[in-house]
Amino acid sequence: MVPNVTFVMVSDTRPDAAGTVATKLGCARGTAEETIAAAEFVIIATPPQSHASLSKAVLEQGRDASVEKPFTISYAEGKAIVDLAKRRNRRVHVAQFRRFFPKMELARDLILSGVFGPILEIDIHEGARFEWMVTTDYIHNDPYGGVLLDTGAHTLDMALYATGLDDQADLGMKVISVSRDKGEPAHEIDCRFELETPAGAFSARLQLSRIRALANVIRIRCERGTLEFDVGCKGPIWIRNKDKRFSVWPSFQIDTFLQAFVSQYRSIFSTLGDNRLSGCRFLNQMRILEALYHHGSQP
Amino acid sequence: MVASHNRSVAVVGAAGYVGQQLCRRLKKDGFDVAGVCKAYSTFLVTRLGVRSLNATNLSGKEKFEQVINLAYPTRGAVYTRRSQNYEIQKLLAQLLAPGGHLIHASTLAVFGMNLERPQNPGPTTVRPDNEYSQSKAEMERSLVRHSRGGSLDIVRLGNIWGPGCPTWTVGLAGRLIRGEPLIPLDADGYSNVTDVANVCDYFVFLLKRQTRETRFHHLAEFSSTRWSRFIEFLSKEMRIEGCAAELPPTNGISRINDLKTALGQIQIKQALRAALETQHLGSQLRGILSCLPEGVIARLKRLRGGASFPLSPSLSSEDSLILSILGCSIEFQSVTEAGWVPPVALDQSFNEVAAWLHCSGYV
Repeated sequence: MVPNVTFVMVSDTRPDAAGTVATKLGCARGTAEETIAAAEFVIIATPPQSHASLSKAVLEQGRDASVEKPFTISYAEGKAIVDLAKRRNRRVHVAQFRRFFPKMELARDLILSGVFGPILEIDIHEGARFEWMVTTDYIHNDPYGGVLLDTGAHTLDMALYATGLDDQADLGMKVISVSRDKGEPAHEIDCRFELETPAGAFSARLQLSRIRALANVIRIRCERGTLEFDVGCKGPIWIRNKDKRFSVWPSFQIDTFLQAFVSQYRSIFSTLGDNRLSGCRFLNQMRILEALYHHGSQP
Repeated sequence: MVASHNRSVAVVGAAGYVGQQLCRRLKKDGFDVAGVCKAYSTFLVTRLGVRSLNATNLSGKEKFEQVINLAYPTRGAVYTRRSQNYEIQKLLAQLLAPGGHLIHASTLAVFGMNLERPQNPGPTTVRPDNEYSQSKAEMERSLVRHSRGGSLDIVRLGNIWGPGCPTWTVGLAGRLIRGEPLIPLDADGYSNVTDVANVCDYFVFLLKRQTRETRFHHLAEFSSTRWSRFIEFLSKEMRIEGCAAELPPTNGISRINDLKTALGQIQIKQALRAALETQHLGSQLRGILSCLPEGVIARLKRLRGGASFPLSPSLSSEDSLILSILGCSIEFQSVTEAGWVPPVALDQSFNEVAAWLHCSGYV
């Protein structure tokens, strides 16, 4: 699905898992070091706390990297990786494929056009009863396996990308409150915080759950209207102004997440300078997630 | 080992929506509850303070005098429903003590997705139907056949409604947010709804009333309330107008109509047009068509795929199914044991859902 790409090696801390994937991809299995040495480009799909060290190893060996979300577990780690990539003239990307949902570019264009005026509030909700047939205990025992970094990295990123805040220099934040069902890894979290830009400050809410259904919607309230869209891959942007609600559709639609996933990798391997997934554009997300993660994380 | 007293209950499908509500209710009522679920959903049960049993790794040694089954086939290819039903039955046999009491949650859809068959609070026959209805009917028949002197209660549930209920609360609210068709034009169907709190209460009622026989129950205490009431309530709370669409045409149940439905997915005329523009096949087809009499060409032009002016946006199969249920003209009336009164009235049910809408980001 992505042209001119050949898999050369797979590695995993579980050799049997690596073997299964290697067989499917028709490539070899090796250690992490062997895999980095064998390839021009490395996809890092390990638990979050290893992203920084593996990215560093990849970049220092002169390779490019794509890292699964969340980029890292802290702003400092993310910044160090971005700076290293710049020094080594290499590329590091973060595989946040939801940026390739057709409605995302439309939302971003609408907000950045200024037509709706300054942002007053951001409201983010994503939740559903957990149904992934996981085979590891990552979501229960890994301190970074909670819903905030697992699901929240996606949903928060959609809001930041749609509002252009992923690129915002000097983005400040202040945590107001964070409530969880239990200590990390938490399965439910409700965060209220403030974001500060040179244009002004506004409030934000991020509510996530693996236990129950939530609205699965992102609302961006601006001075001259509210933009609202659901977190799925299809559908329009809804605009609410006073009592009216109407839809604005992107120029094309996709049917499945897989299409966005493929688009993501086409962008990563593109030579045309699409930097949508460039690591530097995820540092604000890291700043926010880190602050929320550590706020009252041990009840 | 047999559980020592009949306050001990196993709930199969405990991690599901109704399962979690039921476990909570049983625990509150002082039952010793074991929630049976798949390993990856154990945390959904244990967080309620209920002990969990792994559905794929039961020892078979712990038996329960009372078992409530909420599980039904949901995953995998649709032609595997029968084997999934078989696995659930094996699991129930492992859990239930000889002569024990089984309460099985079934569905009004055993009478057809639009209740097109006569409703009878007794055994139903298994007939060709969609995979959900048929697998539910097959499970009922199998449980009745294999109940060995124990007590079996089959509770056919109406459309379940309640805070966070996946199909009829989250589902309808989600359709409102996404602007998907929600209001069948010229049809305001019977909702045939039952509130999840009433479902749990009825199960608890039956736990205390077991007999040594097989009984059938129908539960849809709000059946006569039209869907428009529910949609207007959601619409008002969420400040979103619902989108209307024409009800899809209903054909009788027959192989010919099923084939037409399947072939309806294929746009023959578009496929022919595309083929005509290809190189090798197109060249041959163009050659053939140029030799055909005009009358034959005219018949080909009348094939499916011609321009039309639909009154409604094109509907997905999911849209069509939802709209046909929302336009259901038949009421599924409750048939419950004497002495049971649903504790939750409709207004209270709406209040609970309103509170949930407000705390879950819908408003």
